[in-house]
Amino acid sequence: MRIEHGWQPSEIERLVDIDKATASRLIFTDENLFRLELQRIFMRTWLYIGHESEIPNKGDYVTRKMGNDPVILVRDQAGRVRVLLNTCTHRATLVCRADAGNARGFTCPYHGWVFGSDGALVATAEDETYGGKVNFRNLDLRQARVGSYAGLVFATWNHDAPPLDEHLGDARWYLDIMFGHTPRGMTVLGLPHRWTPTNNWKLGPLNFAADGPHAVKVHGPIVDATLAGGNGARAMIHQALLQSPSVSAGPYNGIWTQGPQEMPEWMGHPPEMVALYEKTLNPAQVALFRRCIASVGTVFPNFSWVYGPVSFDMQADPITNFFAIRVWQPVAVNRTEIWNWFLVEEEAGEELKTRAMRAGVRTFTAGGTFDQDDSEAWHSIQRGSEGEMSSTVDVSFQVALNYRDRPIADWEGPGVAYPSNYCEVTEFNNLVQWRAFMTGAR
Amino acid sequence: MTTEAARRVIDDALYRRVCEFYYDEADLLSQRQMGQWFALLAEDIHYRVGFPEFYEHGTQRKVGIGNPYFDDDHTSLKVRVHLLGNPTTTTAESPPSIYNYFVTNIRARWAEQPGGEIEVDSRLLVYRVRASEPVPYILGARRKDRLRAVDDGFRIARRDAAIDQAIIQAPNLSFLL
Repeated sequence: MRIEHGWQPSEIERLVDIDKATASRLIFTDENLFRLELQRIFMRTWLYIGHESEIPNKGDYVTRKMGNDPVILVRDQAGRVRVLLNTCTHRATLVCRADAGNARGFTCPYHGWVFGSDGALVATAEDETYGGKVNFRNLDLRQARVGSYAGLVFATWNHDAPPLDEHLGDARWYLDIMFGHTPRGMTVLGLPHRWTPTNNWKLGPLNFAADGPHAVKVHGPIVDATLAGGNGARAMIHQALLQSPSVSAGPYNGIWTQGPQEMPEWMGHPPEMVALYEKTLNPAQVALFRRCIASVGTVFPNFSWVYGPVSFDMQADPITNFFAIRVWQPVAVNRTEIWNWFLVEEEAGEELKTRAMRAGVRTFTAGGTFDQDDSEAWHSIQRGSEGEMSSTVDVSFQVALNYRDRPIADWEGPGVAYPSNYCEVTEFNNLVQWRAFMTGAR
Repeated sequence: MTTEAARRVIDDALYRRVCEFYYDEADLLSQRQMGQWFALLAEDIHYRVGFPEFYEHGTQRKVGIGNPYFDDDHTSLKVRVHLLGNPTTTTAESPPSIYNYFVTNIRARWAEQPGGEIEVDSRLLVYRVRASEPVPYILGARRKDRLRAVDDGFRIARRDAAIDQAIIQAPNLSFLL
């Protein structure tokens, strides 16, 4: 019998009130809902695992998570990318305990079972002792379905899920802008930063889906200090956020903050790189990207990115774009691991790569000047949501009531766009997707 | 001791001054006197904080150019110090957290290149309690510095630190090492 963890579908439906654009705070605090999320979301949809540039050669591997399951992302000896459940089929031991490496296969540390880089069982402790009574093929490492789009490797345990291309659907047009704007695509600058905010895993994806209004309050000071070198920046960003599009397209929700007309195009992009973008993207994509001063988005359930131009010294430090991607790993109802990578175009020279790395680590990571303040806000949300009385007060996305019926009419991209980063529609849509998976509608 | 190693030993009085410098620096960071701490940095400082990764023996491989947690120069540290030192410009540190910096295992030698700089290794333990979280967070780190003697003491010309956690067990690093 299926364990329902005390929640009926009709009750879950009421947790996200679509008419009112509100949600129960229990979605951030209820332990049973957290267990259900692992089953109904993380076991059922495509999850981001890693970037192809992390495993360029045969035998290269990195260890990752899908929900609360440890997995290995490996390029096997035939060159095929695989995602293996990192648990020995004999007694459940982790067969790989490193963060990264290169190996022909994986040997269990307990009884010495050996698995190939393709996950196939190569040898047990002593094959002869089974006397031919066991089919060893049933003891290969469990494998997830793997799909890749624009260098992004996704996997799912659900063999009934639609193919990755179909799942991403309209989101691909936006993923192309971020991850496919040069012929060779993006590359990671290193292995991920990992840190552990003390809040529910959904607060990050929601913020990145994206929360326009928090930007001025939480990040106003760092924007003033790094974008225009003076107090004009915050006011400029405020206006830009109010007037820029937010987009929902397939599993993607996010914002494309546009700099004012008087701001130069392609800030922080060297001309030789811009030439590549204009060659690779279509005109509508170029139009959205060239004056973009913040692209922040989430692909449901837990993959996000943040991109934008920054300079820590407008006199001496050329404006450079940071680009961070991350997954929000569910650890417990009130604990999340953030895995955060920095990306740059494969075609970028060493100097641009170094500048992109510095722009990234100074902004969006545990010690980043933007992230450190977000995490405190999210921690405070968690602490503010845990009480009995608190659980009777809903979280509000009600700016959506003012915007959701007036999408941008002549939007050139797929999906639906709304005319303000303050609209809260796309952020709330992330929760509508959550509700669909949690009630079994998806 | 080789002649070269002997040349690099600093005398007791200088070692004492180096130790006092590090205790003073730890106090400034503990008290969040960020402006005074910033005054200890040389204008050409390169400040870097890396992190460990776990590899099986002999299988370490490089991915990308590498991305430490911090990679800062004088101007970007000035921005960080400005934000962290002012209650109106930080959410993470308002109210200010309680900090206690413990610095130990201090080794000091003249740098190999002549020029009056001193190489200093130290170990650091940072103890932090935030207003919204009573459970303390403790982070160990190792630091390799280059100190430059100036008229009124020393300036930190280079800091290569590494934290002792592969997965940071805290929501943020809203402090400097």
